[in-house]
Amino acid sequence: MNFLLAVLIQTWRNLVQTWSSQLLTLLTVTLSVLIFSFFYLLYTNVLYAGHQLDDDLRLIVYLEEDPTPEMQEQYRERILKFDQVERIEFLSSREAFDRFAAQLEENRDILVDMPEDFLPPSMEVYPVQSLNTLAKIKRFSDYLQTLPGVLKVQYGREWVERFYLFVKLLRVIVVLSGTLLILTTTFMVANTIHLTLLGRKEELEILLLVGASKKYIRLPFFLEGALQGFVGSLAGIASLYTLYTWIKLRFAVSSILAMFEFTFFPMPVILTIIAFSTLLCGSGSFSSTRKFLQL
Amino acid sequence: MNGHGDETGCIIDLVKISKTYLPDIKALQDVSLSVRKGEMIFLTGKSGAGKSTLLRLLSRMEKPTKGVIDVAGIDLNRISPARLQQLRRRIGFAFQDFKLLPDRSVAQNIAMAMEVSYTRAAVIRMRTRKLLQRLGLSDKYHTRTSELSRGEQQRVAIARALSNEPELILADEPTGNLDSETTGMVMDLFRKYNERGATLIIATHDESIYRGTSHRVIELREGRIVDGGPEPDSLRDRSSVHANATPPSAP
Ligand SMILES: Nc1ncnc2c1ncn2[C@@H]1O[C@H](COP(=O)(O)OP(=O)(O)OP(=O)(O)O)[C@@H](O)[C@H]1O
Ligand SMILES: [Mg+2]
Repeated sequence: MNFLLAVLIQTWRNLVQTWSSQLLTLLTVTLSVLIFSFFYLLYTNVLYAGHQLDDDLRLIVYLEEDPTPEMQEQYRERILKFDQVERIEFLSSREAFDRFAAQLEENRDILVDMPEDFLPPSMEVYPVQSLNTLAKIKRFSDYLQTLPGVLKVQYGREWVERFYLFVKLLRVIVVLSGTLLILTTTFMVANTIHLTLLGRKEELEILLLVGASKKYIRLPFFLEGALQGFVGSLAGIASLYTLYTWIKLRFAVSSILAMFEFTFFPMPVILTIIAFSTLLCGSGSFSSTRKFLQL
Repeated sequence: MNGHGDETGCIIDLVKISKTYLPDIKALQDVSLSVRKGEMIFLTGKSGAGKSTLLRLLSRMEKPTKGVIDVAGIDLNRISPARLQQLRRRIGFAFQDFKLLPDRSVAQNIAMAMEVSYTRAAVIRMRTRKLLQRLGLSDKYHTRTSELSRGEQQRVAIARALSNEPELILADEPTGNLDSETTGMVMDLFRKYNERGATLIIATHDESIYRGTSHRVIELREGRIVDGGPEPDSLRDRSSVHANATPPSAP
């Protein structure tokens, strides 16, 4: 019998002997991983949705009068001097009217009495992707405001601001729940191990007396914790996936959720969560044996 | 760390050992003793004389208050935890209080001593069966030790001590709960291990097992050696060196 086999047998014995407290710890790990990864998944999806919004995030600059082609060229130059933009589109008073009419569809009769130039001309500035923070957009908007002939700059300020606030809040929740759950999980695992140690005090004493090495005594505890971390995180991720699929089936067709494309974690993230949980529980369990055994 | 013990054929060297338990119980006082490899020694003395204490010091279950202990050439005062565990795998200790796990079977209890040396499972089974047979416990292989009589538990403890083929066997009152026939069995087994080269120290009150023996009988009284018994000449010389208080292992 080699060392590893001996350790595995020892681990198995302990698992069988203390299965009920093991199960409880497993449940804690599962729940912790589930809660944390739920928030994290929400966060990544919201962030993703945000990027999707950024795609058609544009600044609408209302102008006093329809710009001549030379003026359009001037605007273009001055805007490009400030920052890169993806594209700039000019919309005359007339075009704005047509677009509005098209949007109204069957209700377009209300426009009948309106003069065709009642909407101001505008230019639509599509910023480049790098312009992805609120502060940058604000600065850009302020700059556009200073250009001659500009009435007003609009970018759905309130909506965007709220969105970014929400993202910030989510980030805080993810970090807080992560920390809290890591603490409780390690505590629970260490506690189980402590109980196990107490329950096996006699056995460990005898093992020390017959010359068991440190490794032989402690490695099973590491494996035990690691196993709990592994199985627990696997179960947690699996439950989250089930929940995710259910929500998608249930709500994706209707409601605002259909607007966004929801995605699950990519494989590397899943593996990282599992690996982290395995290591955390393993080392938590391992280190709790140090004091007890006074090795 | 590696001492003179191995070279001179000594497996145990005690130099002026004292052990005082709190508050002020002098369990051992100024005990010096050398044991040659392959010797069989009886340690006798009244209850409370310090026999168990001496054995516990030899496996470093306790530290001496004073003095130097060398086992297999290693100074126990300075042994590292890892080396200690290594050393303990070479020692078989049959404890006075057995130290068996009540909820495990006889076989599992015995196996513990071999598993820590990563012995193959088949070998463990074979040795266990053989020992149980020699100790008259063949039919108890799967029995939980809590269901055994004191005498049977005692033999399981002895079987565990012998199972790992130790170089040094420490038996604390190994026949205390046994009838004369079973005592004979145990002593035969001890003698067999001794003939194969193991060193034995047997702490006992049972005069019958050492009466008329050619082996050394050491008597402890109130923590002191009062009778060293027939000591080999070479060892007598070494003891006198110790009496002059020049521990050879001092750096
Ligand atoms: N852990 C301890 N704490 C305090 N005193 C102890 C301890 N162990 C032993 N003693 C004391 O040390 C003395 C020697 O004890 P020890 O167990 O070595 O005697 P013994 O010769 O083995 O006796 P017995 O034949 O009854 O087993 C006794 O007076 C005992 O009360
Ligand atoms: Mg005793």
